[in-house]
Amino acid sequence: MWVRIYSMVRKEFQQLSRDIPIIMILVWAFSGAIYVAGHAVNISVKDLPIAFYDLDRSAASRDLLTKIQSPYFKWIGAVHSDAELDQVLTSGRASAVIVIPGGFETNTQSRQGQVQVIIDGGQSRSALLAVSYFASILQKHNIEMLTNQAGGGLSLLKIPQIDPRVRVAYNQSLNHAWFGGLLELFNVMTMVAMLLTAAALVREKSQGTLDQLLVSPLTARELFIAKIIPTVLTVLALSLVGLFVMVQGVFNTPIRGSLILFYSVATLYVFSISSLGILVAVVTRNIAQATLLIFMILMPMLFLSGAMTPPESMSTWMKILSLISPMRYFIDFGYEVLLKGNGIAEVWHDILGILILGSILFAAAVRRFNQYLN
Amino acid sequence: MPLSEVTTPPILVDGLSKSYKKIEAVKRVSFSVSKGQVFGLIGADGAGKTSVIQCLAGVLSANSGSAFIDGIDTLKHPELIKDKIGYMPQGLGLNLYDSLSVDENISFFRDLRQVPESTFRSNKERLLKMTHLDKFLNRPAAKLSGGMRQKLALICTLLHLPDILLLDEPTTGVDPISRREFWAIIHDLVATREVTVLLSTSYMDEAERCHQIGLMHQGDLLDLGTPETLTKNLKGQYYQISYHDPNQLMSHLQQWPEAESTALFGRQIHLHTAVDSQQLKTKLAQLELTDVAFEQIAPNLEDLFMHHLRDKSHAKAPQDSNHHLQHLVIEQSKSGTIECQQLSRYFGDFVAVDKVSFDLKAGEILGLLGPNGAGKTTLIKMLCGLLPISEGSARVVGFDVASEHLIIKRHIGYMSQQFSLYPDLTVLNNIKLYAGLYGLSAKRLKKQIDSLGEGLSLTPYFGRVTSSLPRGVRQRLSLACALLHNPALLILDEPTSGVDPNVRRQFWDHVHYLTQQNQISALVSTHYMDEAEHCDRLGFMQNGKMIIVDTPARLKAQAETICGQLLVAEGVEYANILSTLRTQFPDAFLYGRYVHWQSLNIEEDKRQAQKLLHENQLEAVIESRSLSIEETFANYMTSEALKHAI
Repeated sequence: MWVRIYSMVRKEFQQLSRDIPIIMILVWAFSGAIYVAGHAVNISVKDLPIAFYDLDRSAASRDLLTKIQSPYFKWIGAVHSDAELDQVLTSGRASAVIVIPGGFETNTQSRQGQVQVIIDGGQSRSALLAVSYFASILQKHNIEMLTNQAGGGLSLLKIPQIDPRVRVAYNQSLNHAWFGGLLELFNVMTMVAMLLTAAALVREKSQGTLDQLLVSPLTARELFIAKIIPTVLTVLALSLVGLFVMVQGVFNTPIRGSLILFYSVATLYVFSISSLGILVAVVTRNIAQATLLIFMILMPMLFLSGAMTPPESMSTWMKILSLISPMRYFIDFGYEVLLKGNGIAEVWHDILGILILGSILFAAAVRRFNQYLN
Repeated sequence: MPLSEVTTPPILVDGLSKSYKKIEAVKRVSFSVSKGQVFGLIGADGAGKTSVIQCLAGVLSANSGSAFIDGIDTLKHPELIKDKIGYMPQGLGLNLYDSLSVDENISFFRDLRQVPESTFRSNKERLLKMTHLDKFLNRPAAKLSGGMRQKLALICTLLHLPDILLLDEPTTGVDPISRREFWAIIHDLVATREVTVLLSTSYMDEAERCHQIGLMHQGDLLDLGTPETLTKNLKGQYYQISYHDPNQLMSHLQQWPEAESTALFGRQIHLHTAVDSQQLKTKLAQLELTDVAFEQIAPNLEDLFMHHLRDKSHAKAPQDSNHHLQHLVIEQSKSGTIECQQLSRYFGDFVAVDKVSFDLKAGEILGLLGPNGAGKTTLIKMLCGLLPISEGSARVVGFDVASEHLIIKRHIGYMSQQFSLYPDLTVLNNIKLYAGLYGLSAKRLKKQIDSLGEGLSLTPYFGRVTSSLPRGVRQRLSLACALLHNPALLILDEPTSGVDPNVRRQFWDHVHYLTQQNQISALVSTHYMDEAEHCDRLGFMQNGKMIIVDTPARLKAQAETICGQLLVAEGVEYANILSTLRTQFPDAFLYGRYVHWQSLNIEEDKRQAQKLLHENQLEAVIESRSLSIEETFANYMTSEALKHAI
């Protein structure tokens, strides 16, 4: 049995080593793609273009406007009419416009001052962040005005207030490359595991080489294992590059947890995802179909994984659905172990999730594979 | 001759050349086809046939030369010829839409071609009736058999009543019965509407159905003419020699300097030599062999091909010497027999294989012939242990297929029609993979690599990547991988479909050597008549049943007794001859420029036909011929009387 599996695995690697385009794609996926993801995906708002419409033209309005500045915002200038206001927003030249109504200064004196902030909701994520930035800028401005009005007599310290001192654990400087780079590594591992396995099997199907294998003493089970082993070895080897060269080397992400634990579970995970790749190959006829199907599976799996939105903030149904995304467990497990340095005690539930889903996928793949061959 | 009488031929190709990167696919090819003619481009895969047809259809640009349809340059004005031609690309019904029904496909092509409603309605009805597809209007194209798909594709090509048909390998992968029907339609169109047809094929036996043929090989047009004149011009004599040990006689003949070429056909040797029959008799007498018999035969197109290929290489082709074959020693431990009794396989209600019984002796070659869907593949899969059996029993190489299929797999070698090894691996990589799968020890592997490498002349190619090798070498590699584990039984699925005649001859030389010297047996599944000729016995299958298993000679004899011998009428006005003869012999059909029909009373029918033609002022020579394997097969498929006689 092992001689046959060994021969098949050797053949898979010989084929892989001659497939230059695939090798280039693999190298890019585990280096370039991670680099791009780490640097380009940034969830804070920077240089949001804004304009103002100052109908008051007073000292108070100018004072307020000077408080809104970089790095978060970038002024693109003033607008002078409602029509112009609409125009800058629709054209996308500005993502937000601050409108200061006439009589702002007088009203502020009597604590009735109002400003209007109009934000382009088309980019809901940056809009949401911008709103909260505005809110905190205005709050700070209010306190300053209060202090100024009270004059030297009343010290700032006497006003009752709470000053939050936030410390971000595990990622002090909130470096998004740490987060994004790791996420892309997990993402690429999933995609490559599925794609390589499916491609290797679909190719045998479409080339007609499968029949030739089946008339040899090679059994279905051996063929199954022989198709998964090369993928698991390739993905794990490449993930070492991704993890140590890109995540640790380029982004300086600290790796705190046990690598033995991480790689044992990663092996289990890649194995499960390869089974999914076999399933894909069984139901499709050629590489193009298989690739399409893989992307149809991969996108929802990623959205449900909690990487984009924490599962806690999903709707009940989505929360339940997210339980069947193997990525959810693996991403959580990966962050917990690599970034936070946690051990089995903290991540056992993720491992259990991967184990259960993996067993289901493996069993289904074996079943469908056998059905297909017969 | 006044200029007005010079008619432009419907199809004209002049010095056409086409290259793909470094490969010259078409090399300065010139020919023309006159109105109402069927022109066949004959050649193996990769000969350049498709490129020529695509240039004519205006879908491919050429490097130099020109192509004309009705005098219009197709390379410069491809849009102007679209209404004149009907073009059918290669592949079974490749222009069809699988999910659409027969009717929807036809309607789609009507809309595409903007066929006027009146033309469409009458034409559609006639074509549907002709192709017998009228009963399947609502069936999706995906669910049609290969032959039916091809007929539907032809309907869609003919809807706009084109006068010129360009058909690229229309009969490849189509079973003999559907192929006959297909040809009947083509000849009918030629006779009734005087359409001009250019078609390509890799089947040599189809050439006779064309009025003119062009032989193509690796981009060159080797020869051009009518099938008869081309073979008649061949120099030298062709003999068929029989002897109880053909391989022994073969090696004698190969050392004879007068022998131009030798090839094995089953247990017969075909010899090409310049000497006359008296000299051959003396030569054979010198060998002091007891039971040698020979007869002179007419050369066929394959011989013509071989002649040209030898001319090109200016030397004896390597396959003319079979000395390397002695290295081919297969030490099988089992006897390659099959005993199949009442074997059945059901898929739900559908009976794919229905109580099939036959046996195969060691050292024998058995051919399975049958239309698509006759159950050949299912039967073979059961015998290989790939598919569980439903009923009955079968023993392969002495083991029961139901309970011992794992052992069976170790003693059979399988080779399929498409090349099913890994093109991106080297020759040696491929061999080692299969050595591993069959668990060969390092010592045995080395021995096998030596003997198969020498025996199949593969040694010089070991380090080469398989995809870069010529087709013949890949074919030998497939055979090597199938023989690696010393199998007792070879299972061959259309092994030489689409290959050059020289590659095919070489392949069969190997198989005959293996069966005769090493007592390996072979089961060949095919609907390729050129392959059936090499079998010791043939099994005809239809609707899951094995109708009969017997030697080709006995099958022919029985078909001739029940259905009659073949009468062939040859005359210039073949279309008129056909319609005249049909009044008396309704089964007569057009076969190239000949009218064929079968007769149980040859002399009487011959006289009657002559009289009938004479009354209509038609001139024709009428001769009787023995049935070919294809006609024999068609008789068994269609004649109830013959089926009852079994």
